[in-house]
Amino acid sequence: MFDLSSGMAALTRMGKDVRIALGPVADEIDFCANRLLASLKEPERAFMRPFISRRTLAAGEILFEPGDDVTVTYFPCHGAMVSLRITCSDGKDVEAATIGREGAVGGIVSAGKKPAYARAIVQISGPAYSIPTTKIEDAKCRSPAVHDLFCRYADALLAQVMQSVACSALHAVEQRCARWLLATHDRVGQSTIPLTQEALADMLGVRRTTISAVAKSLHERGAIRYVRGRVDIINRKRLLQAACECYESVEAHFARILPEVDETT
Amino acid sequence: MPRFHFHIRREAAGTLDRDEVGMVLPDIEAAQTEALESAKELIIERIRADRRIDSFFEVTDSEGNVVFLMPFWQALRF
Repeated sequence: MFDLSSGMAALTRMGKDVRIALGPVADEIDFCANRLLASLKEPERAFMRPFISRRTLAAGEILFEPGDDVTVTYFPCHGAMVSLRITCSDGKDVEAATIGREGAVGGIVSAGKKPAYARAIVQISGPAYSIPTTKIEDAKCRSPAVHDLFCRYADALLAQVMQSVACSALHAVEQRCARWLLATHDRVGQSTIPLTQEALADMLGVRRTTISAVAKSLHERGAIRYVRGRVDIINRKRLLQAACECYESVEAHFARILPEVDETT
Repeated sequence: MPRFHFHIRREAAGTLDRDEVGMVLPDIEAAQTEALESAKELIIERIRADRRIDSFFEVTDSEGNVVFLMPFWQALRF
């Protein structure tokens, strides 16, 4: 438990007062920009605050490669999105999980400084907070609530990966594409998703031209429109009808085990 | 490098699904490889969905001139 929690909270309040007296502070941490951080209570926030840095993630940026020691956990904010990818020896790769403002990437399942198994690549640019994994481990040791939160998040992440296994083996590219767009729509929080057909093809492990054919079919259903470099979600309900059950299953599990993080509850 | 558009003509339905976005590739050979590899994927999808595979790629340049045609069945070996 946070034995110093009340003292820390008081210090933070004092700190805030002092800062106000000195003028506006540019680097105020907005815990609400990431749903996982938002669900932390004040004593835990106070512990984390000194170790949090803010940075912008650029599309295409690699956060870690397989085998890298993961020393930093990233919390994507607003519309930023990171993809965990598995690359095979022939260069073909496919996405195993998508992480946006509902979660975090880096040392989540391994619980700290361990070699990464997948490649983490920024899919959609945006801001993120980063915290050294060792500090997250410290916070988990100090607070059972933080420990429990990250455990449940690791479970949700694993559920997403397990569902992706089923989805990739059993479902049509059009269904998988619709599933991916729905999940991305939730994370980006706007109906225009900045994403090339090449990037979407990479994610689903198919050719760009196959994505074009599938996008055409989703367009005919009145679900989406593809313009060069972006997808517009025109009708989410129709997109849901085109998707397999994988999207809703993962969302339902997330809402059940992380109700305080889920945006729909 | 030129941009190629991989439109899909569905013979029985008499329709043309236009690939408005297209793709920048080094040359026609690369475009033929793209069409062939994508035809393999689309044939698999269509067989699984009990749909016809009678379509072909109508590949054009950015001015709309047809560069080549490639029937999906070209990806099959007998």
